[in-house]
Amino acid sequence: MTHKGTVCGIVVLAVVLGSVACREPDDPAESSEAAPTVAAGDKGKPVFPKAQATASISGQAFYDGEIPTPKALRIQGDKFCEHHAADNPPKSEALLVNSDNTLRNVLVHVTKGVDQWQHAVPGEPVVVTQKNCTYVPHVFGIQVGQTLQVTSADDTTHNVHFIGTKNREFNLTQRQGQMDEKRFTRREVGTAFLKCDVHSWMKAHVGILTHPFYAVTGDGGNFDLGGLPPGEYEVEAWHETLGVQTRQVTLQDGEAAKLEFRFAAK
Amino acid sequence: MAALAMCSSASAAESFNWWLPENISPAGEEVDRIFFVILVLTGLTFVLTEALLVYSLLRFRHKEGRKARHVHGNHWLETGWTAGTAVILLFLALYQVPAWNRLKMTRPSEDGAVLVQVLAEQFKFHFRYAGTDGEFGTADDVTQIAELHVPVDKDVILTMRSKDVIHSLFMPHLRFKQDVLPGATIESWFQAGKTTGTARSERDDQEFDYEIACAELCGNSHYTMRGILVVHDQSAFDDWLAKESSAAADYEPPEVWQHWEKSVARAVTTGEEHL
Repeated sequence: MTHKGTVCGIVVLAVVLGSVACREPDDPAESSEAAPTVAAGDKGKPVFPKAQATASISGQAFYDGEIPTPKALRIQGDKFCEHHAADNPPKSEALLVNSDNTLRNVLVHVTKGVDQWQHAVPGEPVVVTQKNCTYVPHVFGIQVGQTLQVTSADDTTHNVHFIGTKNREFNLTQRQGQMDEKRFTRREVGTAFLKCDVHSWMKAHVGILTHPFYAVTGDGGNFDLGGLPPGEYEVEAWHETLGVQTRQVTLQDGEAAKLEFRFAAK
Repeated sequence: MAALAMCSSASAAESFNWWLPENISPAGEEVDRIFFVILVLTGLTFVLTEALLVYSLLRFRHKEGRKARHVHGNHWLETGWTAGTAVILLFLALYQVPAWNRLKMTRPSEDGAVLVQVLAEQFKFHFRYAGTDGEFGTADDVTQIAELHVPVDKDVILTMRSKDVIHSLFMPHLRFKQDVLPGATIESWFQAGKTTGTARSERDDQEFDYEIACAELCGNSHYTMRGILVVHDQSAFDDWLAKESSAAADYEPPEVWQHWEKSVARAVTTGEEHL
């Protein structure tokens, strides 16, 4: 090989090696590929036995204490956001209690008893919208592998910054009408959230689950985790300011278990 | 040297001011004077070197039959321009010492001064006032995002921290620029000599605001750290602070300030430097 040929070979090799080294081997937030139907961690497991799912878990979350009045968020530093907040400033959603003392924004999910099965990843995305400089919804659940669609309805620049401890961070700048898709790869509850770096009051909490047995409480503080086969389960209720509670449940065939989570005022 | 002498007078510095934002700080004249001295020195050096370059390009351009001559350098010439540069830098280092001492090393008394905590984060400056009770960390603290309110002609003492990366609080009309470093508490101070209202009247522009910017590239949304400085007369500032302080309980305390409390507590245990 001539000297020139050797140099060319080294350059080509360096480019190839460089491109391989720069590839993200397992980008948890990557969305360019088709959405998986089964999460990577579930492959090889038996399929969830739907036919045996004759039991169910549902219930309510309550707040034990005087119903707090949500305080306004301090909205400054952006003309669009200030304009929309001028007459009716958005309220903090960190602690929302219904008039009957039921508690909103509690993520209730099964923590033990369902991991031995393979769970289908829903084809429909979870949609989060930035509207009037707040995230809608404020708390949401999503399955590993499921598509998260983030959109902006606001005529200003937003910055969708996902921070977690087990899933890869991502950071997207969005203009009005823009839509981006991401997916997660690992279970994570309580430590994952979206924030806007431009508007520091904007925050949404993400519960990333490996199965579909979760719900976020709303009106009436209700949750329904769906059908489950008879067996022993652990259920956790997570609230961003009030903490975590767990319950052990043993389901009999056809049983509709009712759980009640009561969070004390802090 | 004549230009330097001209620049060293405050009025001359003012007359050069047509391209800079209006100076509303008593400290600004000194800053501008040093700025213009440096500008003249670097400007003359630039013109001289460019003139030499153009002269050399023309004088020694290609001519048929003329061969290039290799030169190993001129000892006296190199000694000369090295020494000349050193003298200029030494002059600048000494020339700015009195101004640095007056502006950065002489902390004003807290009596009668307005104390403001500044927390910089990607990508906003946050400001906090003690409220009407005069104590930080209480329910009536006034928090502001990207808006710094101060009274005219009063010392304002800023205590600054960064939540994440290096930022730099820059207020061009005050000739104020101070880096904010993560892991350090930095104090800085200023006076604003003209209210926003007066500036608006003079400009016949009711939309005018004194600008705040971040002067340290701090990330992909660095530009969104832009804010405004609102200079009130004393009574208007007192009214503003009282109103905001009484309304503080209606607002959720911005979460970002939790970082301040935690990092200050950590700084005490680790013996972090207070700059």
